[in-house]
Amino acid sequence: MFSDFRFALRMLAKTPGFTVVALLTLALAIGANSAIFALIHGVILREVVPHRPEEVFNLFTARQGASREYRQFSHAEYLALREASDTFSHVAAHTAVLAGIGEQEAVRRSFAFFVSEEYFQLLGVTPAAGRFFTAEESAPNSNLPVVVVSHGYWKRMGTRSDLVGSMLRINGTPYTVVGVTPKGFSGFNALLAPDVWLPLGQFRQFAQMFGEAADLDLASPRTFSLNLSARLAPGISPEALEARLPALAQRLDAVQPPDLATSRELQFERPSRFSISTEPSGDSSGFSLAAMLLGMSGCVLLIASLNLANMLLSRGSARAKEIAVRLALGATRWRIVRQLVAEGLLLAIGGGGLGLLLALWSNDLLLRSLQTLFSTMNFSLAIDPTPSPTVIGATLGFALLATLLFSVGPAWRAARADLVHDLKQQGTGDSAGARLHRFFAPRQLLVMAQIALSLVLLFAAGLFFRGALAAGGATLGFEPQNQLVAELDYSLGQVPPAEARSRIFAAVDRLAQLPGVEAVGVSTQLPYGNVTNNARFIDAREAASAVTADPDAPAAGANALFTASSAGYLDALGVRLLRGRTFTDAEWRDQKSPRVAIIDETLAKQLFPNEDALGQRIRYVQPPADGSPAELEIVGICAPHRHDALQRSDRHRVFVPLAHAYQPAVFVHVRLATGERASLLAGISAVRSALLTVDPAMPILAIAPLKTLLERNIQLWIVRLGAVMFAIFGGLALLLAAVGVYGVKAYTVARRTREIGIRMAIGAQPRDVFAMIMRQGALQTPHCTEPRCGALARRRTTPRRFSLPGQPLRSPRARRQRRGAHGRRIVCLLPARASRDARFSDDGVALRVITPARSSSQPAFSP
Amino acid sequence: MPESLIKLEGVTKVFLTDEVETHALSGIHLDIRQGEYVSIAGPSGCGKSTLLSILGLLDSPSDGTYLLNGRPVQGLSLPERARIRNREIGFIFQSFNLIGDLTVFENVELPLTYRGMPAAERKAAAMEALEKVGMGHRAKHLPSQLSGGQQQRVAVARALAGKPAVLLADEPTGNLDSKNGDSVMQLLAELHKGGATIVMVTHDVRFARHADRTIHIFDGRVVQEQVESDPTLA
Repeated sequence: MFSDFRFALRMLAKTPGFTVVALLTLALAIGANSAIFALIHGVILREVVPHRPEEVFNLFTARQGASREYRQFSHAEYLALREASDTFSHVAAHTAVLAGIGEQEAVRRSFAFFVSEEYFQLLGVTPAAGRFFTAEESAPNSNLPVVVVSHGYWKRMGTRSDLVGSMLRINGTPYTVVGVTPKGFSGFNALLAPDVWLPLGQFRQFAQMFGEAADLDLASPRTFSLNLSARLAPGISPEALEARLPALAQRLDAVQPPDLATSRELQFERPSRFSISTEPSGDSSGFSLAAMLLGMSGCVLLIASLNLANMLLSRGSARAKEIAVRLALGATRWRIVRQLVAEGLLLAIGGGGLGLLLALWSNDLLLRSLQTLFSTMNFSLAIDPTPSPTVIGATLGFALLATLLFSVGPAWRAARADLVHDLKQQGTGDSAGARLHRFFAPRQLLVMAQIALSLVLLFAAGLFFRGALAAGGATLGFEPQNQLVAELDYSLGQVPPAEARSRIFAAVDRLAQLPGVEAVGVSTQLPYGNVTNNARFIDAREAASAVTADPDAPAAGANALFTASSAGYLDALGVRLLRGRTFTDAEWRDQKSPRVAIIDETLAKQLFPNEDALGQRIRYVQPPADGSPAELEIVGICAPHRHDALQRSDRHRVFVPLAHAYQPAVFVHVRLATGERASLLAGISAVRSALLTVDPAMPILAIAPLKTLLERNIQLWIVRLGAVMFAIFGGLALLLAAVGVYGVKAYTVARRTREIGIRMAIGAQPRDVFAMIMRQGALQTPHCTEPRCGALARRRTTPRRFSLPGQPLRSPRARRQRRGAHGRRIVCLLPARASRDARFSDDGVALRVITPARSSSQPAFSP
Repeated sequence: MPESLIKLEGVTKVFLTDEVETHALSGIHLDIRQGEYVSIAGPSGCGKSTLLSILGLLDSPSDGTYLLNGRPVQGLSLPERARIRNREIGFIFQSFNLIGDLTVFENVELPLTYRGMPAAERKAAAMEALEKVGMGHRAKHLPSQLSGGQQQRVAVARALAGKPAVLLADEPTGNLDSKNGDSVMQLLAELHKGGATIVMVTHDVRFARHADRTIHIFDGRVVQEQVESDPTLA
């Protein structure tokens, strides 16, 4: 075996051109697969719960008989379930917030998790330094300012040895760092790791980020703010848990406030890797995406392997005599296969090593790109781009798979040599060769397969590009060109809500006075933003009939994106007010003003299909937690406008005055007179100065043109990433296929030199030879561009959720196919031209070779 | 009288190409004894190389029986044929068929490698064969660094290294000038004197004379058998 590898190395060193091309081909293909696998492993396959993950579940509660109404748990409910020690060994409560970490201008918004004392124990982790929380610290309203920081945060702080025990300001309050989570720990989320974990006892201190009126007193049975996760007690199976759910739900009923005494039901699901939802959501979309990516990279590996198989087939033909000699000397066919596969294995291992480096680089690039989407937020990515043993193992696996794909077939074929013929080989052409056989020769079939696969990828890239273009060019319903947006978050400091609100009002007034500013508005939600806020509304007259015991009854009312905004918001954003009026100054600044709303036309038509919505009253299906009035009078109807990059239809919108649903995190829209780049850039500094004039400590997270912020939409990013990835892989695949076609054609032409010489000797013109070579390529093209390739691509690579605005699929497919066919004809053209030109430049070459070799086995030329 | 080493009985070889049936050999009967030096002569296309391919188990007869050392070998499996080629047959080709990427020593060592012989034994056997043909001093060279005659000597050493029962030589002087051709023929004669059984295909009567016996083939049939002392050969 050693001698096989030694000889293989020598053979590869002897043909550096072939070796370099093969290594690069494999590096690209294996690298693509390793990169995708590393991501999938990091996000999908890696267990986020390191210790017996199969025992851990998330718990959900819904009102019995109306399973659509999920909510979080109260602390009392958490305690009630924690007492069920015969079912659960641990129950942990947790909830996520955004918090400002740091001081003064260095304050950054970060993910923070409030957790109960059992959280880390349930997940089975121990601190990298210090300790986790005590029961006392986690008790409701205990208000002990301690914090556990993530390993990623510790690293960003330079891995300070004195971090534990040091002071960290969170939302302006000093906290003592008591511990550091272990490396790679990200809680239940597989993608993003929060920077800090806080004990539940601190939860009330963060009330203002949920609005001025919010009360996060966990001791209250009305505060439903906790998500629950549980680890099953020893001996309890998921089936046993299922059977005990009704009894456990009764524990919840027992702790409900008397006026909310509705029967609850309990559900459980494996923890989601991506979402922190109040209802079961599953991770199937992530799995679908992973399967699609693996399929795509698998296609590239297959194409590269087919290409290499072709190269090895040609190489095997060139080495036919050597192989025949070895066989004549007594080598078995298995021995020959082993030797040739050893060459393939060396190539694959070399390509795998290079591919691993490529994967590292590309994933690092991808993760950096992902981080730019959340540029106003600090977090640690839970994905570790450094290759784990699993990723290295998978890369080795891809290398072995590639070896099997590209080298075993050619090796087996080479070992099945015609001994007598090959031993006498004198550089003659193919001895056999019915036309059909030649047309469907393995090399030709491999090339056709390569082209077909690459077209599938290119077709998918076309769909994504089209989707990206459609999403980018969709009618927005607002005018982003002239706008600047300042993102402020008063929850990151210690400014009392009333004071923060008045500073926001002052900021709006100050900005409106700036020269060149046409309108200013404030809202709690950014169009195309990555965080959305929904609420369900109903015609107030139908509120009584909305509650039904029928679990299958359609949900009453309509869901709408819920935005608190200022009077000038719609004007600043450029959304047309169709009827009625916008908010008055008193409405948007005064909490006690009458409850009013502006809705969009689509919601108006849905809730009030047979009458004018203006002047009607709508009602929250879930009344506000702060006890404020649930009914709102509709004072204006605005035009529909998009909030989402990919949805086919516009989503319903409800706007309420900022004072009625105040949140300290707001977006200030400033519409300038001009959208020129220079004006926008100048406007940014002017807006910043104006804001700091109002409040020198204003928590400005970012000021940027709205168009730039729209570009950072995560859905657009995914579609564009998909387009870029498919384009790269498809382009790569087509390049490989083109190289393959060229190689095979060049090889075929070379092998047919005798035949071509004969044809010319008996009077064929160069153009006849040229046409002959081109004809074969043209005949094979339809097999590669068979319409089903396109249909397959569409079915496999268009995620259902990416329901792009309706586009006829026929034209891009046809275009792609035509382009592929055209490309194939071009690569056929080169060898064909070469063969024709050879006749002209060195007429003797082809004509000399028709003089038969003495030992030729072709009867036609034997003397 | 020595035992038969090679015995062919009614061996026929038919090639089928594009619906054309070509009878390369027709009812060949042949008996070659241990230590005998036999040449097979005839014009191009008469079937002598096909006969040698069948003798060397590179090809199978369409019909008839082939006994090697008394054992029928015409119906053996591919691995078994490879084993016999490796252990009992040594090939010398017209175009040398040395592997250009291996050194002289590695070329000679190659059949022993396939035999699974330990490295030390391989080295000794390969060097002994090279010394026997006078090429020991070029062991580390590549075939491309040798002259045609030297390459053929290396090819003979490769054939000898495994101490086969029979040496099959297909036009061993066909690619050599007369001086080198004579030298190779001399080498084969010396090997024969040392006890080697040799079957040589040649169309050159001058070289055929070196053999004890010459078998003339025409149109796939044995038309004449002559011993070296037969005056009609002159």
